Amino acid sequence: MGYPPQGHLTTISSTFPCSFVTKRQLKKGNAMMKRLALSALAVAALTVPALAGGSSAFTLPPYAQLQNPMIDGPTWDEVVRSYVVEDDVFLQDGEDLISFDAPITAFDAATVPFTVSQRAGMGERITKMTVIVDENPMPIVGEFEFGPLMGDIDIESRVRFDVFSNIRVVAETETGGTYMVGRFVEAAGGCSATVTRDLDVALATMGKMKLKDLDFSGGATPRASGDVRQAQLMIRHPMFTGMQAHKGTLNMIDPRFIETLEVTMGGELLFKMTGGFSISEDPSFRFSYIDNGSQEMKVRATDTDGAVFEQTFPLNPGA
Amino acid sequence: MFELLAMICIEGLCQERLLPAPALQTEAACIAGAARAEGWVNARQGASVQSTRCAALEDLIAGAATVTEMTPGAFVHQGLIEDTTKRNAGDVSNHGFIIGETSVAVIDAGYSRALGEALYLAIRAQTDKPISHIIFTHMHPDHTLGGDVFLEAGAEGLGAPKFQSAYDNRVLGYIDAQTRLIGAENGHGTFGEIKAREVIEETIDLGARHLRLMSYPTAHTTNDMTILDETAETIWMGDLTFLGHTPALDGSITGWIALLDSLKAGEARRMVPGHGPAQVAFPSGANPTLDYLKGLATSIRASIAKGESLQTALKDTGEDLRKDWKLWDEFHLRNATNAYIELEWE
Repeated sequence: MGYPPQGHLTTISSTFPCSFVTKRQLKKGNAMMKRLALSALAVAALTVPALAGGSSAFTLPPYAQLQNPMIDGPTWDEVVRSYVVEDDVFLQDGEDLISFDAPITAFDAATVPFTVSQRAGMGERITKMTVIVDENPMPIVGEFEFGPLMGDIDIESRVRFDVFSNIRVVAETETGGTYMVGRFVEAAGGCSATVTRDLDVALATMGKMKLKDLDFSGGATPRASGDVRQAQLMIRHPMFTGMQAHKGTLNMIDPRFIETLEVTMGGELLFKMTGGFSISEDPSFRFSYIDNGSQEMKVRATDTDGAVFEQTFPLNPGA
Repeated sequence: MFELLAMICIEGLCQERLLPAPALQTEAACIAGAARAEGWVNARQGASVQSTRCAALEDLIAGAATVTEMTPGAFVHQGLIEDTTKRNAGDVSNHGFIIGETSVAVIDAGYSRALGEALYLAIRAQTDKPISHIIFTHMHPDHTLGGDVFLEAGAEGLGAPKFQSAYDNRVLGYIDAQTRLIGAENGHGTFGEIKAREVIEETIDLGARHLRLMSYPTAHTTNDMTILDETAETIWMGDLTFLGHTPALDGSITGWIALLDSLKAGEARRMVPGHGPAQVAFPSGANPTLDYLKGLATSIRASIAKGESLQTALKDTGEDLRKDWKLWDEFHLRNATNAYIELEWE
């Protein structure tokens, strides 16, 4: 995997004045990529007749804007694929069914946001999704199992990138279809995940959770069963990779990361994740769900040290 | 006076390195002490010594860093406001030294062994007083990696309480990145063997020149330290203030704003920023950094209040803050990311 030896996971903060190896190294390439992307858009705009004389604010539908398609490489085909799906499974192109958003360039390789949104009208439920960053030392970011309450999947989280890599999602539907979408993200450059900014703080706050109900009506809108709502779950956890060396002692900080996470609503499953340390520090999951009228959402997470973090969040009953 | 130079080879690349001694040396003393080059390489994996020589200081001064005497006895080397590249060899941050009646204190050390040696020679061009302290304003490599030179010259390292652990946890990556960014030829001899005593708050005396060292809760980093040169009414801010160079957030945006707001009430009339001009008026010189941070916090808080995801928030934040900041693309969105993941917990 070309993963460098000890110390590299410390290097996201490895340039000056802060930690920007990624951008520095990429500057030239980026400028070119951006020009190419812009010119592609310009060409596209010119060739769509309906746009003649149209406003420059026009944007193409998301799936037409594939500015950063995946780049074929041996890691996926020869190594990682077999850990995700059986060899005989045909991976269908999922672009028409799933909107997948990941940046062309990550501004912070320790915190790269991605969003998976099921397009309306896919017609069947996604029951499982695996997120993969091909070139990471732990390529499988997480396996998500979705309950029916998740409806059309719309979920955002954040991952670490060790080197430039594809990030891909393999989604399985209830009728057995398997779809793949992916993007190539420029992040890292030898600098990999992150060193926890302040170990003392990280250890002292580990397990603290916050659930944001992203209903901004302040409870003015009555809740109703069947409504699609949105929430953001945040958990304090350093997600130690085990690859962080301490120069003074050359001791490695042991890996410790959230391995399972289950979110339920009134006993019904929203989602369950089994994951690794490619998830960013202080994991965050922003997701939509179908309100089942329950008064509470319950979160249970376990980490590799056997710690269990549980919290029950009362839901705004609405007006 | 004489200095020991050793031809040191590391991974096939040989360069002459200056190996300072804790005391001034005559030519005879330098020659007699040349064996310490062996000790130097033995303590550093992969290094070997090919030859040594002793050179008169005046023959080495041409290699000294350019410094400006901003107030009597206080000298600043002004780094470039640039990306770190092979061309500029990492000379992108401000550092300097203050001379008292009995000794010299160095504040920050540059990004490489070579930059540290150049600063050492700049000191020796001014004075032969002992170098008593090397003070690190924070752990970032452009301020620390040349520090070995001063420790070898007998200085005591000083840093904020979280300096050493923050540095130790990152330095292997720092050195790896240094090689990539400025090349092995410019980074030659950088081993980052820095030890600093923890200082919460302390006044050091260089002989009729008092420096007040202060550490703070997390701001630009977890381990920021300021140095108030009482005689000169000048505060050395490290990277708590940037001018020209887009500020870089590697700590806490709320902590940084609060700290700058409180520092502005201090008694200094001048400051040395970590990046930007060698010296500017204080507290007005802190305003650009503070305005940027406050504007960024306002913008990110507004995004969070609207329910915007991180990805959405990053798409259009802060163009109104751009002004004349250089290296904006390299730093701003990274800062915005860090601000978002901090402020979303509010």
